[in-house]
Amino acid sequence: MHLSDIANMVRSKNAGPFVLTFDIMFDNKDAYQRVVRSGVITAERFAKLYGVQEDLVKVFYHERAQAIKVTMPRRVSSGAPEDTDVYGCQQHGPICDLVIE
Amino acid sequence: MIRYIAATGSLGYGFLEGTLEAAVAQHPDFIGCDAGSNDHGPNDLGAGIPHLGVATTMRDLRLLLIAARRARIPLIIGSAGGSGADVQVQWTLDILKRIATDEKLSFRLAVIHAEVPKEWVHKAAKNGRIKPLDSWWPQLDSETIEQTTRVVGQMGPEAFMQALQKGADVVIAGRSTDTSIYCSYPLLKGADPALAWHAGKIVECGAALAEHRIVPDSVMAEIGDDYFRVWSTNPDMRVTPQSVMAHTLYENGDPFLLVEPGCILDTSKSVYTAASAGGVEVRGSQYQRQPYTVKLEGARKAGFRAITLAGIRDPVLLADLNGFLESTEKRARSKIASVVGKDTAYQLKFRVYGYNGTLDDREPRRSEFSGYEVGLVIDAVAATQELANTVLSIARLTVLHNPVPRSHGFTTNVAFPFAPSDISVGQVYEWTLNHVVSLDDPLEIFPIEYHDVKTGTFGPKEH
Repeated sequence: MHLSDIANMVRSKNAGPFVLTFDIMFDNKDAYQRVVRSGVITAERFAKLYGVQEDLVKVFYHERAQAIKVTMPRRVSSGAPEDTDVYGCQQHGPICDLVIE
Repeated sequence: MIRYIAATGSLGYGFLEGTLEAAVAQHPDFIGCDAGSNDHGPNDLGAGIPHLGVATTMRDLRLLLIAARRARIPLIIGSAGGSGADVQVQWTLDILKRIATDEKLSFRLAVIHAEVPKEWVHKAAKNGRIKPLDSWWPQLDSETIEQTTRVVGQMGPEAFMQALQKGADVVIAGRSTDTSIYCSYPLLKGADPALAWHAGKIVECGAALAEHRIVPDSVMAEIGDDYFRVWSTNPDMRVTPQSVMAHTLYENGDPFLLVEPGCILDTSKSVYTAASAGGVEVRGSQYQRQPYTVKLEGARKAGFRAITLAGIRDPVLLADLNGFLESTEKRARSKIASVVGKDTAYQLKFRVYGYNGTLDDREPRRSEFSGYEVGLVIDAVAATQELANTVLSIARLTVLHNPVPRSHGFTTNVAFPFAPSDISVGQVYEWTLNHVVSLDDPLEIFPIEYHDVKTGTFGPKEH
């Protein structure tokens, strides 16, 4: 199953012009726990997918909100000449596609 | 108990008149509205241009000003004009003046500036008062300050509080943190800071806290002794504990901690419940005082851009799209070097939508590409508009006729939707500052001026 089939929302967005943040949200505890336990959401995986240094990727688990947040530096700042996504809001596609056993 | 309206996510995005009317009928103590963001990129601040048009801003501001004056409650606008630089504050004041004249309104106006003179930034940097916001960001050097076209500070609630205390009916402020606009009045009236800040964070995007934000719209907040409540006066928008909790995470790097001038809001123990009065009640938010720091923003010129939009629909070409792009870029670059010189710097980028336009080289599905059409943006950035145009024209011509190995003969490869095909975009900027400055006095870089506005005529400036 893909993560986007289990989560009720996956989104990315700037958190300021230099930081990108991903929210993965669930509408029930089981779904949240299933993804947490799968071990798929790791700093290593995000670092590899987005080409950033692994120790700068932070993964947060918010049990009460049934949400996982991942935050990392942007590769280039928002709107710089080589940027491809000024709002950082369409970077989550590869995360939707992650396979959860 | 304090009650207020957050008019919309950004002044000019709009709200439904019915929603505002219903909210005003519920006896708010003030109306707040954020007018800016750094989401749109560095151009607004770098060039000092408003993010939205006059007509949309005037529509919202007119309705809010009339509503606030009728109810005799303050109207508080922050981050005026998009980035809150002086020129954008003035742009907002010009619109306000036209409305006040049209509607024959009189009020006490406070204008708070947030643009920081570069000499002050140099001095603060020299005195070690400026630090990178993130550990991985470099210290601020004087060259970067010099290159930055204008610097603004994100003000905290103190300048708003001062203006309100001095009797302002309308506050038009430069760059501010979104939350400060909404927590200033509650803090002035002695509200619990954790509740005031958390409520401000929740409502700063207006109706975005709803389960489905159908249209940009107003929302309300109420701050009591040990809770705050947020709700919508639009019956079509549901506000649920889950949607409010989700909005606490929005655009924030950390899900629990929100760093604001002089404090950190901690929502890790916050409890969100459906309220019997409607909407959602929140309890248990915490707050810690911190040394007073303010975030600085600035942008510098990064060249001029020229682009061409085109479509590719030839299945033979698309069958080896990557090979085509690689050989095109190689040939284009060698041709460009022969015209502008091999040492002339420029940036050339083929942004291929339907392939890797959004994620660039991080697109993991590039190798599985199959499709019947892609959109191509040829993007050239260089030191002058003329050079960008030259680079673009060569790249565009190369794309147009670069041989497709499987097609024998002269091919014309891309469909231009427009004539002319090339668009001069103009100056491009990039963010320079990712820093905070420590202030002894929260008002140090946010001077306030006051005017008595009598039926649209601004009285003399007072300090």
